[in-house]
This record gives sequence, structure tokens and C-alpha cells, in this order.
Amino acid sequence: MGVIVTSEQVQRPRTAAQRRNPYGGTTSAVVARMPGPTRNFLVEVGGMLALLGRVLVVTAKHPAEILRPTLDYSYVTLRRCWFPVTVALGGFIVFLSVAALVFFDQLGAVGIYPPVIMRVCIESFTVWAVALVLAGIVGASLTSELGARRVRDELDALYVIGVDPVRELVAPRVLTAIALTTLMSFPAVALSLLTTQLAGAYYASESSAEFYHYVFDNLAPMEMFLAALNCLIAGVIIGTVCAYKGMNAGGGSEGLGKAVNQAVVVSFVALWMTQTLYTGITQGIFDLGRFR
Amino acid sequence: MSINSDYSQQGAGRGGVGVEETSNAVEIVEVTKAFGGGPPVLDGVSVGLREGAITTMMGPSGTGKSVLLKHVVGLLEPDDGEIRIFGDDLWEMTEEQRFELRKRFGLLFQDGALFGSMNIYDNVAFPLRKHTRMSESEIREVVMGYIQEVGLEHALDRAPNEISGGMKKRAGFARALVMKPEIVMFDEPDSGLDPVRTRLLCELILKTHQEHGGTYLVITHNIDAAQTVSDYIGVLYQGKLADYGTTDDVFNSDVPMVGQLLRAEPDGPLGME
Amino acid sequence: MSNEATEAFARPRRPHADKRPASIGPTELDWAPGWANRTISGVGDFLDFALRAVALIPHALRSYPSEVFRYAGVLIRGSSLVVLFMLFNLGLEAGLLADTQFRPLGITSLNGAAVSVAIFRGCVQVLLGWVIAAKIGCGLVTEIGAMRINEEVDALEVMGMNPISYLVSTRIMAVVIVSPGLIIMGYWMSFWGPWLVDVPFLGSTSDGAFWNYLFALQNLTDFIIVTIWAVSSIALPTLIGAYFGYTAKGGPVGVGENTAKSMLISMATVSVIATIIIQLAYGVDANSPIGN
Repeated sequence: MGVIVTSEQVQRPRTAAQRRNPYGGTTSAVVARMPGPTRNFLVEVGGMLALLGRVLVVTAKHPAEILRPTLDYSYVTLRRCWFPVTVALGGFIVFLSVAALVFFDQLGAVGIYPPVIMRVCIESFTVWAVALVLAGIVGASLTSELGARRVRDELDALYVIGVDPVRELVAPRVLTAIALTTLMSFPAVALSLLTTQLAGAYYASESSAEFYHYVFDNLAPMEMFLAALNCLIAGVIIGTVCAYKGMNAGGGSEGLGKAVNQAVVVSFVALWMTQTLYTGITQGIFDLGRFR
Repeated sequence: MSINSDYSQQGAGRGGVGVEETSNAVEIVEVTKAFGGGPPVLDGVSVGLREGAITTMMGPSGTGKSVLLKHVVGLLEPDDGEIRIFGDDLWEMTEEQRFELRKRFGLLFQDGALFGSMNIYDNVAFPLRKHTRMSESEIREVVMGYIQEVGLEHALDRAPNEISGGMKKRAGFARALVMKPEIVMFDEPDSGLDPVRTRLLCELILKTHQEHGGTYLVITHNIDAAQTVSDYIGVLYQGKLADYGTTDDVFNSDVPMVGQLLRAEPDGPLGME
Repeated sequence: MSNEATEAFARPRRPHADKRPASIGPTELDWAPGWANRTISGVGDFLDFALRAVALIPHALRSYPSEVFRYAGVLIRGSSLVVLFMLFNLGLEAGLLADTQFRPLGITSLNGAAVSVAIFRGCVQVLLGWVIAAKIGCGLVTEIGAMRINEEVDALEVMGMNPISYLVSTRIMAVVIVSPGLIIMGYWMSFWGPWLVDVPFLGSTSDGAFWNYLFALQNLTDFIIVTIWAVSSIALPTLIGAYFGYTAKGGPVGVGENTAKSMLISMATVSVIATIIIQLAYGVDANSPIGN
């Protein structure tokens, strides 16, 4: 002992540490004084927003570098997930159609079944089901994939090699989740159109001509646009939450499983709440319920 | 004990001999780190890594050796204190500067941390493809050189989950070296390896150090390995630097805990807790 | 090692080793593609596991009653609030949509009826199944998978305890204990959600009309059908989660991958159950007390 180990020893101003104090700013100071659960919640939300911000900045800076892996990853994800997504979505819409048919059959008004069910689907339930199914299937696999890399130290290895993991791994995955969820709204609406028509023909012997006539008479382009926007919001939530949870997966044998579990639950709750808010707001602004 | 005695002879020959006093490549100044409001894992650790030497950090399990290493690379930010790399404070830099600086680092992770989606060759070639404008044939030349050095030329297109732990470490070593780093770090190079493979890996470390030079930091609690490779040894205990010096100095240390650790004696300040 | 040495250490072959049949029947269908074989054997494994777990429930109740009630407590404290909150949110959304669709038609007094048919007969069950898959199913994969990776399951076996009984049957019994209360309260939440939107907020229907139509369009048969549906939507994700946890391998990464896989399969399964039950229960007879 007693060997001089550094050229400059103890007399060091503490300003550097103070400057770096994680609770230095006003917002941080407020958050730091919150009670435990609230603080954890705010820290998580802040972390997610920061991650989303970094993803957007990185994408804006290097769009060409990120496009290629995004397309690759989207292709891989679609190949893996198209079948379960179709099954889960189709089953949901079938029972929704049958329930609506039952209801309008009782009223003796099968004629208004097509526009009502299509509106309900496009404005809310199809989008909702797409969001939940993609969160459960695409989001969970995204978290487990990123988390596996975290657990195997691959993210740290990227840092050490001098490559930003957000740019290399996270941004393509978040963008994939956003793009897939948004683009999925179109085939999903087409699928719900087909499924509700088949249900109408099968259960209530409704002619397809009548069905499509009523549907296209009563749908506005605005509805499709709003559905796509809704899916975009859902995609941002799924991508951000799942990537954040994957990047911050804990160690130990249950760390990664816990991360996947939390990612799915947190995105479910977030999607559920934003969906209700979004439907309330859009229904208030746009008079979409008009019958023509 | 035959392997051990062999080791100690080698270690005695190496410790501190022929290493001239140089400046510090890395300076760790008064670093303190605690996780989640718990007790500090590192409590004011100050240590310098001499340029061109192999420094080993030893210590019982859970004393923050790996945490210290992560601080040096900049994966963790200290609560208090500074990390200076070639004189510059790591946390005064911008994110971009840090990424630039990390190109001068090589780190061998505990399990190699190879990218599971690539084969061994692509793993080793990855830093070159990301950071240089070399053509594929030039990259192949460089990569094959390092892969032959670590003796993996027969496993080029195997995936990381198909190879043994020792091979993973050697592949990780090749990847750490491929950018010709000035500072190379090893996180428990001996973990999960049998004594023979540990020794082979140690010899590989010594050989590459002689060939390529550079500042090496080895984290281990394997006494033989430490004695074989180190010029300097630091001992961490309860978040503090318990001892530091040339290999011979530390092995003859009169600090009770250090003596117990290096002779693996059951009696002393260290217990099972 | 030389050849003689290997032979010297080789054990003598047991008599009649060749005469025993390799297995009971053909384990692979030669003519089927690989994925079909894998799927069939996977489903078979799952059924084998699930039947054993269910058959061991009496054993679990006799031997480890405290574990059953401990886990029931964990479910009530950890999961029930999330589930009920989500179903309440579903109700809010349903009330909002019923109002926007029925207002142009002038039948907003039937909002309660729409909730009774569409939400009570399907949405609640499917979304309950999905949330349970996310919260309880994934949680089980994580918990049991981590025990499997840490060799705790093997340790149980060495200590002479039946791991399936101790880990799986007890948890299934706990879900059985908790689910009736959870289901009933879930229905209740999904009724109060639309009430809140339609009666006090939007004023589209009166308090009396809402409850009148809500209960006029359902009867005991409905209640029995949807409750059986809800129980199966809860039970299958739970069993699937336990199966994927019990068969986890490959370290923490394997646990994470299994969590994502169980989520995927549970979501698709819940949708398939919905399609089958709506077909069986309401495909032929709408079972609506009014109208016909």
C-alpha cells in the first residue's frame, strides 16, 4: 500500500460531480422528491419518452442507414407473425359481427347492420384489436429479442465497439413496430369487412350486394384516415414501451421474462387508455355517425 | 499443485520486471457508485492504469470489480469522481466524442458477448465494417490474421451458440483486438474455463500484449492467472482499493485481507457473507 | 483414449434390450411436413401436461393448500385491479360507440341493449382472456421458467415433491378460486362503464331505460354460456403459460422467448375459442328474450 496511484489525488473540486448530479435540474428535483411509486412511474415514462426522442433524432439524422434494417426486420416480423395475428384478429371480428347481427335481427333492422358494424370496427374495435394483438405478438417478440441481447451483453458490446445501439438496433425495431401497426390497419379493415360480410351472409342470409351498398354509402374517407392515425399512435406506444422494457431488462433468470411480461401489460394499459381518449376526442370533433 | 508452482515461477519472473515507469493511460479518481439507494459498490476508488502495462484488478466476489470496469468503458456513470482516459474526463465529453473514444477500447466480456445473429467471422469483422472504409478483401485479411492468432480458423461460420465457452472467449478476444485498440480490458477471462484453457488464454493475452502492445486491464479472482499476466495488481475490497502495487509487492503484502485472498486461506477478515 | 480402454469401461448391455418396443406407436407422420409434425407433437405435449396438472389438483389441495391460497392472494392483489380497470375502460369505449352509432338513428334508449349483447356476449370474454394471458399467463412463464432455469424444479423433485402438483396444479386451483369473483366483477365493471358515459356524461339515455334494456336482453342461459366462455378464456392462457414456463430451457433468454411465445399462442387461442363458442351458442338460436 502507499503507492501513488494517480497523478492528481484528493484535492479535487466537487463541481464536476455537482454539474453531473442526476437530480440537478428543476424537473428532476421535483421528481426526486415524489413518493416511491409515483417517482418510479415518472422515471419510466421519462425514460420511454427519452428513448423515443433519441430514436426520432437518430432516424432524422441517418434515414438511409436505418431504412434498410427496418425493412429487413419488418419482413422477418411479418413472416413470423402474420398467421397468429390473422387468427386472433379474425376470431375477434367474427364474434363481434355475430353479436351485432343478433342485436339488429332482434330489432328487425338487419339493414343497418352493415354500416353500424363497419363504423364500430373502423372507429374503434378493429384498430383496438390490431393494437392489442400486435402488442401481444410483435411487441412481445421485440422485447424478448432486444432483452436477449441485453442479457447476453450484446448492447454493452456495441457501446464498447463504439456503435450506438439505439441507431443500430433500437431505431429499426421501434420504426418497424410503428410501420407495421399503421400499415396493418388497412388489411385489418379489409379483413373485418370480409368477415362481417361473410357473417351477415351466413347467419342472416344478407345479400353481399346489399351489404357493400350500405357500407360504402355510409363510410367517409375521414374514417379510414382516423383509423390509420389511431394505429400510428398505437404503434408509437407499442414500439416505445416494448423497446424500453427490452433495453432495460434486468439480470437473473427471470429478468427477461419479467421484462416481456411488463412490456405487454404496460402497453395494454397504455393502449386501452389512449384508445378511449382518442375515440372520445375524434367522435367529439368529427360528426362521423351521420347516416346517408 | 504442479500447474500452480509452474505458474508462480512464471509470475515471479514477470512481476514488475522490465516495465519502466510510464504515465497513466486511464485514471480513475475517487469514483463512487451506488445502485438504487443501496450501499456504495465503489466507495472512492482511485487507481491508475499505466500505459503499456498489464494491470489486474482482484478481489473477492461482489466487490465491484466488474462495475469498475464498466466505469472505465463509460457504460456506467459514476455518482461522484472522474474517469480520465488519456487525460480527458470521460463524462465531460459529448456522446459522440465518447463513441469516438470507444473505438480505442477493446473489451472481452465474460461470455464473449458475441452477436447471436452473426457467425464468428462476421462478429470479428463487425467493428471494421462499422468504423473503417476497408474493402471486404482487406477486412478478410485483417480478420483472418486475428482469427488465426486466437486459433479459430476452423470455426469461421459457426454461430456463437454452437461453440464452447472457451471458443466464445477467444472469438470475443479477436473482436476486441481487431480495431488495434490502445486499451484492452478483460472481464473475468478465466470464468467457466478449466485450468488448462485458463492458462492457454493467459498465454494468449501475454503473447498479444508483447506483439501489439497497449494498456491491458484484467478483472479476475483467479490467483494463478493474475500472477501469470500482471505487471501491477490492485485489490478491491468492500468498495475500496485495499492494496496496489507491482505483482511481487502485492503478493508479499502485509494487508491481512490481501494475504488471505491471495493464499486462499479460510481464516481471516473474509467470510462467506 | 485407446479402443481397448473404451471397451474395458463399457458397461455390459442389458439382456432383452433389443426386444422392447422403441415406443408405443409411430412418433412421426412420414407424409406430413415438418411443421405439422412439430405442431401436432407440441399440442400433444401440452394436452399431456394440462391433463396431468388438472388431475393433480386434488393432490395439490391435500398437500399444499397454503400455496394455493398464497397464490390466490397474489392474483387478487397483483392482477385483479389491472383486469377490472381494463374492463371498465372497455365499457367506457362501448358506451361512447353505442351513443355515436345510435344517436343518428334516434334509438339511444337502446344503448343498454347494445352493451348487453355486444359487450356481455364476447368483448368481455375475449379481452379478459387477452389481459389474463398478458398478466397471469406471462407471469407464470416467467416465474416457473426462472425456477426451471435455476434448477429449482429439479430440486423439488429431488426433495420428493411432485413439481407439477406443487407449481402448476396449485396455481390453476388458485385461478379457479379467484376467477368467478373476477368474472362477475368484470361484468359489473363493463356495465358501469357505459352507464357512466351514456347516462351522466352524454345523457343519451335515462337511468331506468339503460338498466331496463341491459337486463331485458339477457337471461340465465346467457349468463351460464358467457360464464363458461369466460372461464375457458381464463383457464387456457393460464395452462399455456404454465406449460411454457415448465418447458423453458436455454437460460434467461429461453424464458424470455417462451414468454413471448406463450403470449402469441394464448391470444390466438382465446380468439379461436370465441369463434367456436359464439358459433355453438348463438349461431343457431340468438337466445334473446325480446323480439321473437
